[in-house]
Amino acid sequence: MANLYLIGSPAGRNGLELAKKDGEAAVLLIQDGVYLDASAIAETGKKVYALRKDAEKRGLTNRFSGSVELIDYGKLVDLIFAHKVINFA
Amino acid sequence: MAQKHVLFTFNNAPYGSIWYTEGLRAAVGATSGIDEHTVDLVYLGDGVYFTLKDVDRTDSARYLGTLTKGGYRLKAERESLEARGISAADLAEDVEVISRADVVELVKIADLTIDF
Amino acid sequence: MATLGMLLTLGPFQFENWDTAASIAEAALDKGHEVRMFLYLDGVYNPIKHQTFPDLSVMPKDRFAALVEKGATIIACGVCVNARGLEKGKDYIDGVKVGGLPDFAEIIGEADALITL
Repeated sequence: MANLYLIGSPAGRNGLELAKKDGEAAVLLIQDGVYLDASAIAETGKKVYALRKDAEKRGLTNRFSGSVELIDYGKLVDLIFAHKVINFA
Repeated sequence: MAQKHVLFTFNNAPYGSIWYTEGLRAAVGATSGIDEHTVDLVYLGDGVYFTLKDVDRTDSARYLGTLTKGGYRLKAERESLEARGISAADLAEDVEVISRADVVELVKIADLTIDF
Repeated sequence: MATLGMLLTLGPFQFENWDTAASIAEAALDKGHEVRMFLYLDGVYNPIKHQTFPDLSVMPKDRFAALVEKGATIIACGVCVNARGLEKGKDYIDGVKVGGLPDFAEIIGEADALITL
């Protein structure tokens, strides 16, 4: 089961550093985690998701390129059960 | 019901917020239940400031005592220490320095993770 | 169907974690999963009975009441409750239990996934 780094606060930077070194990592940005730059992780081919609602209300959806998938809560729940959640929220 | 191995990460420096000690209380709680879960205690980012030897540990001494009696050690991430100019000589005796790659290995063996 | 364990450590009206937690719990319940939430530290302020705040159309306590109605288990840390001068029974909405860390240890044992907010 791959690891899903749930990044939801500025301290989530610690989690992003681990995700860079984790070959089985996927990243899910929520809350203020959507302000963090996960592009270096996406560029290595690891999947990066962001909670659409949290990105939208911060006016950030345009900053997410095609490499970040914007998702709703339903998909978030599916991802949580399909991975091991590594909490940094 | 099942015994789980839980990775606790500590990401905030003492003392501006209560995470440093309440996280330890939660770790004690996790190990004390009927399932007797096991834990890893890892300090990341600004959390590593708790591992300095001169930090006042009065309010967390009870939890640390229980955890060390259980054989647990505090693990501080080397990269986080280096980024803050903290050397091994600055750390408390019960702190073990591990690399970021080691932390990723602890992530892999954990069943669940909790961040404070 | 799976069991989602949740640890909520922040209160309402200052951080958005409660809203995230309630929304995730709703989505999980709607998919037929079980939700077991432990309220720790200021998290115990979320389902208290008397809340008013003109800027919110729905009070946090009512979101949590809806979760309980849909079958979620919500347990508040008793030490945290007492520390804040709240009272078991009296200050909480129906269905929220006041317990302790052993309950959280039990949630850890039962959870297929755990998220902390």
